[in-house]
Order: sequence, then structure tokens, then C-alpha cells
Amino acid sequence: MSILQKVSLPRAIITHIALWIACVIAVFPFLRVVTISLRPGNNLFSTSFSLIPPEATLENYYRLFTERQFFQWVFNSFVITSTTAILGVVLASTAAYAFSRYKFPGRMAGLSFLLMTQMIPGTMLILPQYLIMAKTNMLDTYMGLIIAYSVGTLPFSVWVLKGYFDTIPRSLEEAAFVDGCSEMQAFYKIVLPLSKPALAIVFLFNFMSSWNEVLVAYTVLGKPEMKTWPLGLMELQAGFNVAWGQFAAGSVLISIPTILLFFVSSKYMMSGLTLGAVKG
Amino acid sequence: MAVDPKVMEQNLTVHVLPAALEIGKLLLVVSLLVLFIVGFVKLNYKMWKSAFYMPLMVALSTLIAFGLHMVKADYSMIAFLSLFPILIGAFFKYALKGNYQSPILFAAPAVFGVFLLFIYPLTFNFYLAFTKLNLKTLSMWIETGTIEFVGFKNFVNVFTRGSEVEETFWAIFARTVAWTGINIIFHFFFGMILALFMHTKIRFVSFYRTLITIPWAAPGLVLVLAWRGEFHSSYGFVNQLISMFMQLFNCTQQNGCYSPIEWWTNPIALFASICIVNVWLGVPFYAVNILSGLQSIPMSYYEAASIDGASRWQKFTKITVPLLKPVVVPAMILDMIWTFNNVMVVYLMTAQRGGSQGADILVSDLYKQAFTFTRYSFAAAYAIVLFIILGAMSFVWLKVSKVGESPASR
Amino acid sequence: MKRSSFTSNLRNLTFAALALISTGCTKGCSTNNATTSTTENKNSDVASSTPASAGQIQIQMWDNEDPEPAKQLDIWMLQFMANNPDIKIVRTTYQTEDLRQKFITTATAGKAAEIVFGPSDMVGPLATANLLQPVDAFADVNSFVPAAMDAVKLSGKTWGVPMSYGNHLMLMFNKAMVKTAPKTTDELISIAKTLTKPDQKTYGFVMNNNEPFWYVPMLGAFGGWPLSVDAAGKATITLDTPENKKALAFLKSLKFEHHILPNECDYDCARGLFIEKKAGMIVNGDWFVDEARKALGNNLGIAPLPVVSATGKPMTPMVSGRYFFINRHVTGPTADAVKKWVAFLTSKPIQVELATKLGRIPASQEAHKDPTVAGNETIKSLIDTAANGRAMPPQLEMRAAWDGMRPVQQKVMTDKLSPEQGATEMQTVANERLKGLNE
Repeated sequence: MSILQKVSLPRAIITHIALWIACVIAVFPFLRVVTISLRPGNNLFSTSFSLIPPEATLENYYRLFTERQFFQWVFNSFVITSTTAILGVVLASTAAYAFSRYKFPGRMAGLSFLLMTQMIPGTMLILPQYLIMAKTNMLDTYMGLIIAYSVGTLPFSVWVLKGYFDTIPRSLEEAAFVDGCSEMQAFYKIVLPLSKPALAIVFLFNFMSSWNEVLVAYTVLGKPEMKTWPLGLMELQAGFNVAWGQFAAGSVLISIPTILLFFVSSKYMMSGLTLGAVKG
Repeated sequence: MAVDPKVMEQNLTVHVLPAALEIGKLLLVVSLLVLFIVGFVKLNYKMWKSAFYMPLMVALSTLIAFGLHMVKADYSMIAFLSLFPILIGAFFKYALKGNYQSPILFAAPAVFGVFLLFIYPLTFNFYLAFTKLNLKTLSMWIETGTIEFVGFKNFVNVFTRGSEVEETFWAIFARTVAWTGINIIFHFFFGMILALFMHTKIRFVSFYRTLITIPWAAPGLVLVLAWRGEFHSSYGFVNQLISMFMQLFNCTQQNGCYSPIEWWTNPIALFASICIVNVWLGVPFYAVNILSGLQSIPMSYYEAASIDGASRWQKFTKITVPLLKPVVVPAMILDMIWTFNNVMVVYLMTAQRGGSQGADILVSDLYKQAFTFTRYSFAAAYAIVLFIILGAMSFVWLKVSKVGESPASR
Repeated sequence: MKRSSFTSNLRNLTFAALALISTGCTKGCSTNNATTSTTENKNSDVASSTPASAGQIQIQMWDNEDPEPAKQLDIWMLQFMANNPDIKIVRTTYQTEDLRQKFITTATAGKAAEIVFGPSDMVGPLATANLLQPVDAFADVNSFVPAAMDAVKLSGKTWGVPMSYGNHLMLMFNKAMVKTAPKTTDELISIAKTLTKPDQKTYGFVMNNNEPFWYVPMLGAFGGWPLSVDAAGKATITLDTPENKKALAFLKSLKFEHHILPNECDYDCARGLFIEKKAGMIVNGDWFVDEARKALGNNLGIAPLPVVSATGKPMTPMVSGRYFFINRHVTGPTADAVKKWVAFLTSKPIQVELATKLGRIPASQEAHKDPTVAGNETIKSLIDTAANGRAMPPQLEMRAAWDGMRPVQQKVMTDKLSPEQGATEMQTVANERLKGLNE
């Protein structure tokens, strides 16, 4: 960070204050969920406004664990999400490499087509994708969701990775070809290791989008032991008497993995997200 | 009610083995698929010159069409799958002509997947959009696979719908444009400010950056529902804050000079609240993005400008802004698409049950038409219209901002 | 180097995941091996309805049960499966709207659940879409309380087997704040006015005034009803009526003239206020009794909805219940299993437990003769409060009527529309929705 100039004291104070306010705004709603989860009973609203309710209890957490299949939900989500993210990265990186390194007929068409898929309203995909999975016997399986999710995020991943690959000088691979590397070897021995930040970002995006996905999971999954966490939590608000306390408790817990993952990768995000654009 | 110990044990158990087995199966299936695709591509490279190549592909297409017809697949499926071989054949014969083997192999698995999971739905929707599928025709369609063909009626309905009480397509369209515009502008504005603040040499910056990304990192489903609660007119924090602020001017509900905003039921306030939530959700993405852009601008540029006597504003407009453009413009295009297509935030904020007319954007309205009101064919036509609109918008935006040509395609 | 640190993190994570998957097999997997391998190829394919290889028949039941009663349902399920090892019941809960959507979507591939357990208004859409079968073959429809059956009779057929009867609105009050229940709306308004102190966040009377379900009882008291059904069974939406205008004016006056309804109070707000003892009276359904009793104990009073003073007629809550709806494609051995399961849940012992443990009115007539049910104060008061009720219309038109009423009611309650305009607009929107359903 040595590239930055030192700032004057008044400016530093203003910066601190501004960032503090931003942090409070950013974190506040989440803290309120924590409050609801600590409140006994199932009240969404309360006339009391303290952040930690006076009669704070972990009852909701205990009940969530014993009365619901919470651990199974989280496990399912975790399996689906991590496999999706890995598979997504693998499929996207090879395709992105092709689009970045070669000129071939249909290249621009392919790239525009990938961008185009992002414009399809999600609602439109639900029924036909369901029909495909029903016909290929992939309902109520992890596999169906993993394939749907990892392909669903492919277009975005390919664009990000292609952008990053574009910034890696071709000369590196050419040198490798001289040394007798095949194209495949050049790809995974040279280009991939240099693209770690972008790969990390793509992994993170895939992880996030499938961790939070509801609509497809709703139609595809039916068995209770297959539920992912969003479906499980939605189950808590099935009828009129919503178990808000447990809902909030679950929400707090399932937020932890993604937040952690974000923190771990936050430094990477800085270099991966530029899409390589500036460096070029 | 206490939990039955048997149920409790069942709840605490995590079934790991089925998942492990299935992941194994998945790996197997995926590798087989990839092998099959690679083999298929290679086969095509061997065969494309043969005189029988195209006739063979045509025959294959006919065979698939016939086979699908026999198992009573619907017409969209038949059209989609049977055209595959002909198109592939034409591509190899007239476009590739035996070249470019490596990129095609590299791209094939992903392209195949995307084709199946995006293009089939698209074809399916085109088919639905010209037919009459609703609750009453549903079971006939399920059993026989046929639906009545109605031509462009659904498309006409999309544009002519609306009456003195129902919003027209154009009213919702206008709101969607406003929604997209407001979101992008505020995302960018606040993201820029935050990034500039974080791009200084002070302590705790990484701590701040960590907290600021919470809206992006935590699951949206949870956050949106939390925000919805905060907008409740008497229990939400937002109105509490407003009333505290008003009290500073001796203005309370009791003396009648102010009445709490009914965020949930007043359509304009509801729309405003949805915008606020979505802006809040999207700012971190921009902040991090812009910050990374800022950090990649070499300090030497600024130093050189200082020597030339440039003011701080000049440095910002002449160095920072142009160098940030390649970072910001793609982010904005993505954001535009995501915001335009954002069902979740609007749907959850408008209370899920098909209520709250007057705050819907096109996609959330589409969702309600398709699933709450079960107008499948109408929704299919509607979706295609939206798709075309978004495509046109992105195209114009790409042309205007001239980032369509990325470094590699130079 | 920041790059390498992240990669190692990433790698650790991946390894952790792999380790978890490969070695983390707990005791659960050995017991569940059998079920996963059988369900893999079988899934829930109703159309084929072939028994699993182990000779076990699997029945899927989808419901929208609240979290608390769902636990009791699970206990019954285990009891049943212990006695019928050849049948496996798989129960999944969805939100009401999603339940209907999910059933229709999955039906397109013939994979919908064998049984939907839900409210009566599923009948309209699902029977119209021809996804259900009449239930005469599955239970003796005459053995149930007749009032429970009206809500699932459509085009001369009965589409649901009732589990419970009720699901209707009533007046609950906190005896610590309200001594005796108001008999008329005038009484209710005057009691509520003395208790309402918005600055202290206490209210005399709360209800979910955004949902038409809470408004329909008033409409009934003014002599109106959302649908009128002619002798041939054809339903017409009747919302643009003088009765609806008067009833809407009455609802609106509660907020704008008498100032007793809190601002935009939806379900959770009303529920929260009542439970926190900040509201003297609430209009809510039988599903809420259990929770309210937990919060208020003996201070909870239950009374029928009051008589509307202007007309002298009582409010008429919509009465339905919770029903089993059976997938059209259920046949053969699966049908027998479904029949057994439904018979089990509607048998006398379970129906008595339904009354005593969940506080719901049993649908079986036989259970009503049981002394523990007949002597149960809660059940008695629930039956009393349902006395003035009218069956919820099962027709598809009701669906359109709900969708038409909901947004307009909200507009009237935010003073965007006058009651007269509101009634007309409700009719127009409902007609539009109906047209959409039919197009």
C-alpha cells in the first residue's frame, strides 16, 4: 500500500467518520436479524428496540437444531454449492481460454451468445429446465441442481476469466510451445497458475449464487432430506404462524460461511475483479 | 410441544453417504459427457470432408425427430434436438473446414451445457408463446403434448393489457427503466465515494472494507426480509429514525404535522423502499470494483501530473476517470442486466402474495403472471418481449460505451 | 504474497470439503443406504406407481403446515409407518402459494405428490387443471361434519377428505384488558377507543387489514359475498355491489373515522401486538389459538365475530378446513396405501388427538361424540365461532376474486380510493384476473 500518499489529519478523521457511518449502515440490518434470533418466541416485530433483547436466549437456536433438519439442509447446500463452484470453474476456464487465445469462426457469436443468456429472465427458465431434469431423471438429486447451477453461472464466469486471460501475455505460452509443451499443458501449467485471482473470484461468484438460489431448488427438490437451506428456512414460514425466531437463527448461521469466504478472498477480489481491464 | 426423541435424533443426523455417492456419480457422468463431446468433435473433424457427411447429419436429424415423435415429446423439444446435427454439420462443413481444432475442443463442453440449459428453454418459450397453455388446457398438454395454436395473440395481449385499473405494459416498463436507472446511478455514486474514501492511507481500511461488503456477502434472501421489517410503518427502524428526526423540529404525530410513511402499502413509498434496499445491496460490488481499479492505477501518473501542476480535480477527471472506465463500464452493463432481471428483491419486498400493485417491475410482474396467476403462454410471450428489450438495451449500451472490443479481439 | 495465501486457503477448503465427503460418514448413512438406493430410480413417479424393489410403497405428501402442528403430524406419521412397514410417507412443507405452484409445475412431468394436504382453496385451481381426483373412493364422505364438506364440493364432486374443520376467523381478546367480549361492532369500537393509545403503542383492536380474508366476514354481515353461485353451479364474481360499498366504508371507518386500527398492520404486526399484550382484541384464525394461549394463559378469551350494528347481522367468517387432495394419477397399490393413510388420520383416536393436542375441530363426526372432545372448552368455543360462518367457495372464480380484492382493499385502506370506487375497482380487477385465468 506504499503507493498511497499520506493524508492530512483532518482528512483522515473525516474519512474515518464516513467509513464508520457506511459500516453501520452496512451491518445494521444484519444485526437486527441477530436480535430477532435472540428474542424468545416468534415475534418479528417487537415494541422494544434494544439490539440485544432484555430476555435474550439461545432457545431459537436450540429448537432449530433439534426440531428441524437444519444440519442436513446446510450440508446439502454445502455439497451442492462447493461442487458447483469447482465444476463451474473447470468448465468456464477451458472455454474462456478458447475464447481468449484463439480466433475461430463463431467466436464473436459465441461470446455474444454467452452475454445474451444473461438477459433471459430467470422465470422463463424454470419450467423448461424442470422438464429437462424430469426427463433425465435428475429430480431430487444433488446432481441435477449442481449441473443446472454450474451451467447457469458459466456465461458470467467465462466472461470474467476471458477478460483476465486476455491480460496474460501470449509470449509466455509461445515460449512454452518452443519448449515442447502442448496447448493443453500451456493452458494448465502457465495460464491457470497466473490467473488465480480471477479463478478465485469465479469460484466465489459461483458459490454465492448457488448458495442463495431458491427458485430452481424449489421446483427440483421434493424430498425433505434433500432440502437446501433456503427451502428449509422457507418451510419455517409456511403458514400464518411463521417461526420468525428460528428463521432468524437459521439466517444468522447460514450467513457465516459466505461472509467468511468473502473475508478470506477479499484481497483476491481486489485483483481479480478488475477483469484485467486496466492492466492491459 | 417437546420434540419426540426419535424425531430429534433424525433431525440431528446428517446423511453424508448419499451425497458422497452422488458426487462420485456426478464426476463419472460429467467426465463421460466431456469424453463423448470431445470424441464427437474429433469424429466430425475426421468426417467433414466426406461426401456422405451432410446427408448423414440430415438423416440423423430426421431419426431424432422421428424417435422423439414416437415417445410423444412436445414440438419444441423435437424442433430443438433434431436441428442439432444439421447445425453442427453445417458449422463443420462450411465454417470450420477442418481448422481450429483446439479452441473448438476447449470450448465444446461449456458451449454444449449452455446450449442445453439456455437454448432449449428459449425454444420452449417460443413454442409456448404461440399457444394457449393455462390451467384449463394444462392436463391436455401433459397427456397429449399438444396445445392449441393461437398465433400472435399472446404478444398482442402483452402490449394491449391494462385497463382503467390494471397497469399497462408501458407503465411497468417506465417504472422498470426508472428502477434500473436509479439503481445504477446510486450504486455507482455511493460505490465511487466509498472507494475514494477507502483509497487513502489510513488505519483500519481493511476492517472497514470487510464490514462494508456484508450486504454483498450475506444471503440476499435474509437481508431483504430483514429490510422489509425495517420499513414497517410503526415498528420499522426507518420510520423511528424519521420520527426522531422530526421531533427535533418539534414535529410529532400527535400535533399532526407529520404522519408516518406507510412504506408497505403506499405504492410510491414501497417502490422507493425497494430501490433503497437494492441500492444498499449493490453498493459494495461497485465499491470493491472501483477500489481495485483505483489501486491498479500507477501512482507515477499522478506524480507526473503533479509536476505539470495539475489540480486535484484535474487529476481526477483526466487520470482517474478515464482509467477507471474499463472497470466501471463492464460492471455497469452487468449491473444493468442484473438489476433489470432482479425478481427476488422486488418479489420479497412486495410481500410475495401477488399484492402491492404499483411497485412491480417487469420481471417481478412476469413472475406473478406465470406462477401466481398461472398464465403460462401469456408469460412466455411476455418473457420473450423482456428478453428482446434487454438485449436491445445492452447492445446500445455496448455500442455507446465502445467496450465490446476487449483487448483480445483487437 | 497475497496470491499464494489465498490459494492455500482455497486448497485447504477444498481438502476439507473432500475430507468431509469421503470420511465424514456418520451413523446416519448406514441406516439410510437402503432408502436412497431405492428412491433413486423410483423417485416419485406417480404415473407408473410401481412399488419399490423392497416392496415398499412411497407416498409423498406436500403440505403448508405451520411449524408447531407439523411436529404432531410427524409423530402420527411415525406411528403409521411403524404399523405399516410396507408404506413410506414422505412429507414436505411449502408456503401456501408455493405449494400450489409446485404441484402444478411438477404435474407437468407427472411427478407431483400423491397427496396435497392443505386449505380448501386449492380445489379451484387444481381441479380446474384436472390434476385431482374425486375422493369418494378414498373415504366415506358422509362420515364427516357436513359443513366441512361444502368447501370442497365443485361441479357435483367432492375433491378433498377433511382432516379438520374450521380455519375460520374469530374474535380473541385479552381478559386483562377487555372484560367481556363485545357483542356488536359499536361495543367493539367503544371498547377499542378507550384502549387505543398510539403514543404508547397500545391498541384496542387489531387485525390484518391488508388481506381480504379478514374483510370478507364484514362483507357477509352487510349481506354481500364475493361469489354468487346459480342453480347450475356457475359462479359469478359479485363485488361491485351496494353491500360491498357499505362494508368497505365500514372497514375504512375503523381506521379513518374511529382511529382504532393501527397503521398498515399486517398479520405479523397484529399477532405481535396481541402476544405482547399491547392489543386488547384481535381478529384471527383458529390456528392462532394455541400460540395466543401460550402467551396469555387463562386471560385469552374467544368469542364469535361481533354483530355489525348497522345491519344487525353477525359477521360471517369463511369456514373451510384442512383437506387431503389426491393426485389424479394415484391408482392401484399406491391408491390403497393412500387410502390407508387417510383412513388412519381421519380415524377416531387421531381425530381426538387433533382436538386435544392441536386444538382444531375434528372433521370426523364420530370424534365429536367422544367425551374428551365434547367436553373440551376450546373446541366448543371454536365450534361456536364457526356457527355464523359460510363455506369458502371452492370455485376458481374465488381465486380471481381474492386477487382482485387484495390490492384494492389496500388502496382503500390507505385512502387512495373511496369505498364506492373500491367496490367497482375490485370487480374490474377480479374480472381481469378471471379473464387471465381463462385466456
